[in-house]
Amino acid sequence: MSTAAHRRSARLAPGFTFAGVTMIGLAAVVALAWLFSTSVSRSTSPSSAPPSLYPSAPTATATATAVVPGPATRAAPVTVSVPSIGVHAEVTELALPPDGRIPSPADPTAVGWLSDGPAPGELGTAVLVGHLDSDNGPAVFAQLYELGAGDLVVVRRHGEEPIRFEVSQVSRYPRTEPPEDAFGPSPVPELRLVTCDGPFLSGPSGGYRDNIVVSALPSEAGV
Amino acid sequence: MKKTAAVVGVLVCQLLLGGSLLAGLAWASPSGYLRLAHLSPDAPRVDVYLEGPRGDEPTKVPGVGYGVVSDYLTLPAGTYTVAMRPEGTSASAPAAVSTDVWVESGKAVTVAGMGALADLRLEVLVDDLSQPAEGTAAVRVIHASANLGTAAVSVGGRQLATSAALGDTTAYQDLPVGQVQLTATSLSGGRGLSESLQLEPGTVYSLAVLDRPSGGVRLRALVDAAGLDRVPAVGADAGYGGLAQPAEASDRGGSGLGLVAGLLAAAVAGTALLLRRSRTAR
Repeated sequence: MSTAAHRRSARLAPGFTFAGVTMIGLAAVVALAWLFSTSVSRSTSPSSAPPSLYPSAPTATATATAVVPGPATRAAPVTVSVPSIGVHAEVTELALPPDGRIPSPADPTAVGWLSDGPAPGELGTAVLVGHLDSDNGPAVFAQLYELGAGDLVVVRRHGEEPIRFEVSQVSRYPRTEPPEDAFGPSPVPELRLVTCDGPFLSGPSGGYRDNIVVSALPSEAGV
Repeated sequence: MKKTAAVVGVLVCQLLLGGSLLAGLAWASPSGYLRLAHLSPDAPRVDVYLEGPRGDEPTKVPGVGYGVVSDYLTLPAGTYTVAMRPEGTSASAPAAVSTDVWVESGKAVTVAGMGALADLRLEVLVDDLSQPAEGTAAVRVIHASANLGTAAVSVGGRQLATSAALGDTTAYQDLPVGQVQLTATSLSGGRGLSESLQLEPGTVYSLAVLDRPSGGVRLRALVDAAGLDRVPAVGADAGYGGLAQPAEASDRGGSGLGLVAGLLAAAVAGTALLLRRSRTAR
């Protein structure tokens, strides 16, 4: 492995590439077809409807089971892997404190999941936080800045199949101003990987000035 | 002389500020979201066609029945065309209903076949992706039940509609989270509905009221979006400083901060020198 200094100079060379990635088209649409077909097959429809939009006879409707969400069964994340930067880490649970500061795990080798939100793979924005460095060297997310569009992230979950994500975007913002868009609600299972970046400031409000946020969407390929 | 030093100090502060602003790059979602639904109770199964902005062949989803709602598709922003044809009819036949829909980056829409078959229409519902107020969930109701008839609808004791008809969609309201009761009271002698559901914080719901084939009314709760219970006020302090070396401070920032720090140091030194000189001169 390279030294910390080497790592940083490597980071300078390409500059920051904040890739905005346009997603898929066909693959998503194929997924759509699948969704519709499974939804339909799950319901026990008599399928006696005439194949016309304009029948006078009453039409049959699907008798799907009532869907009323109860307390969600959480498939908590167990480990997270990012093969392209050699990350394989245990995931611990973190709670967003009342002051609204995004917490980070005490252990620089661990990754924390904000359990005040969706788990990775559930519909919505799931957030994982890891350290950039420890007191004396790189920590679990030291190379997060190197990620680019299409890089793979795999999350193993308690009682569920592992789920694969692909990086769609990398962004950076001042730590004191997290944009709502980066952490707001999402209509699909999205993942955010968060760590520090920028200059290390001293003083009472010290620490790294910025945050890097890697956004990832479920991989089309499956596991 | 003192004034000059003060001006330099102000300039340095502005540079520092500018540096931190440069570092904050805007977050832009690369794509938008679209889902499709069949919510017309007396319309038969349909083939749904989705045509993208690139002029590719439309994608056909065959045999979509009443009450079916797809998951969200993540799509490149652009104008799409959604069409419904009676199941099994040729793709070249005129569509029963069709509509253009603009998929906007970072925004979500639901394109739904709505209303009674006699006046079936494809409606584009704009779905809310904004963070509900702390301790609340955002909720709207979609009236897709002929059995219910015109109805007053309330959720958790809050009235969402005083008189909603088949095909109507209420506005979103932020409601306190927890176990709540949805109550739909028919104003036209139809069947009512009273059902409890659990609202989670930071979550956006569309509650669809649907016909049962047996003649009753049922609820289907759709999650439009979910996220953290509340938006973080401050980002993560996720570094202990082990990679930070004073000499390389400028490298990390990538915004000339080393230069700024140098200027700041020079300004401080200069000010000290000037102050000492003016003191000696006195």
